[in-house]
Amino acid sequence: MTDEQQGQAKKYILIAEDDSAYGNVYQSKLENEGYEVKVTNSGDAVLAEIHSRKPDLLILDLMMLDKDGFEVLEELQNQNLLNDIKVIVASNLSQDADRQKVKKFNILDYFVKSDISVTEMVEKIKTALK
Amino acid sequence: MNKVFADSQHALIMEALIENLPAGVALVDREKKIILANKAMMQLTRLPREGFYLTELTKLFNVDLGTELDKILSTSISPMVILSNVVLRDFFYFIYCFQICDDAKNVIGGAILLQDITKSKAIEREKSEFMSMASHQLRTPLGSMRWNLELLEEDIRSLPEISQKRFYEAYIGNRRAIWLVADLLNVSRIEQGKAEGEPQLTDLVSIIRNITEEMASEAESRKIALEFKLINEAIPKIVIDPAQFRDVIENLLSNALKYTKSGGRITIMLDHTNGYVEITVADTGIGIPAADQYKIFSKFFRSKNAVRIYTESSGLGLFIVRSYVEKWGGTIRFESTEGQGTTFYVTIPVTSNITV
Repeated sequence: MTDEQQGQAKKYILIAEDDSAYGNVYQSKLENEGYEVKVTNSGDAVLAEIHSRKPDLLILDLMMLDKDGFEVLEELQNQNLLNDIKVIVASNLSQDADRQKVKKFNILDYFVKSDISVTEMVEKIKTALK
Repeated sequence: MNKVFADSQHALIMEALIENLPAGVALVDREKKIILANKAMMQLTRLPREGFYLTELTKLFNVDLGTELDKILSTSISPMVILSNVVLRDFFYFIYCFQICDDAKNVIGGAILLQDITKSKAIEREKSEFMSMASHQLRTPLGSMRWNLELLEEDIRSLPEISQKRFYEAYIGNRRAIWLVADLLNVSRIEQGKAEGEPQLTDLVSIIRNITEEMASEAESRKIALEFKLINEAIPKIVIDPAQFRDVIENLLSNALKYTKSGGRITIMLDHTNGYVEITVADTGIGIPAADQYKIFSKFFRSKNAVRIYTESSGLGLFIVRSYVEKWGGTIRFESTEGQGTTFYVTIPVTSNITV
């Protein structure tokens, strides 16, 4: 943990990702970087988590079982939470149509998981939480 | 014609064939007057026999048939003209216009053939959508594999060298698979006409400089001279999708790098003349064999001499490059001699006149 992190409470990152191969990487790598991490695997679960405890950052996959990422964004918007919560969309979808749909919402960043390295992913999160 | 039918029956046979062909057929004389229209033509156009004129066909298909017929009726211009992407109601067609000559090779008339390609277009679209869906699905395991391998890298360093080598081969294999998926997705997007991207005012010089710098260390380690020459200082920014422009430059430069041997040289030049930006990528590499040159922009095609040097490559790069360049209203051509090198010339029109 860095000196600055020791002085403040750990930042809490909530992740909505239904593929455990990714979930495990997020969990171990980000915990290693000094963050508190919780991984949920569905849209419904992540909304419940957000209501019980507001995260410092939400990393949202788009394709999930039951409610998908698009619906989660809609609900967060309807509940006026998007101005309050930092959101990064991390998906393997990259069609222009998908990007356009997501652009309507007030989110920080969008990346295609397969197209960036673990290191680059961590950089994006650090930048978001500055 | 063979001697199964009597000579006197030939005309009847031809008439029967033309009348029953599933493609629409119309014949015109040298004055472009319609002298025959078969059943399929009447059904496809839904025009009444009394109203079946060239002007009506032209209006219906929104194609200047008069001008196209002029080309084929005059012997010196063209024996056949093909019009693609002709649309009528919900159907797609190819229109073929070709000349009909007598024994003495004099043009006596022309034919208009209407071919319904709606079904094959639908199949093309389904194929593209399937490729797009499959590519997205492939990304998930490939992506999680990539991250897990990257996390593993640290632990691998304490293993014997042979294990480390195998690990890197696995990692490189994974990265190649990811690039291939990206290429496939680009191709399917292009084919579905969904490759508009996000055009914006783009600084071409900085993108080229950036990519050249990224490739500098590899070039240096392989003793290849890599140089970016700015021919004209005043290169205007143009309205183009920067990621797509980047793809084009990366493809051309990485090809040059792949196929040029140690001691060679690669030069990328950027110029601006007559309302066009010109990019030239010249290498002293293995060149493209003459027999393969006409296929070089085809999907998945790779020349044997290229495969020998670098077995793993999708063969999609130049297809994607040409698709983007032509979409921007530009041109791409090349000159190449096997064993000596290749030079690619790309021109892109500057549609907005904002200078740097």
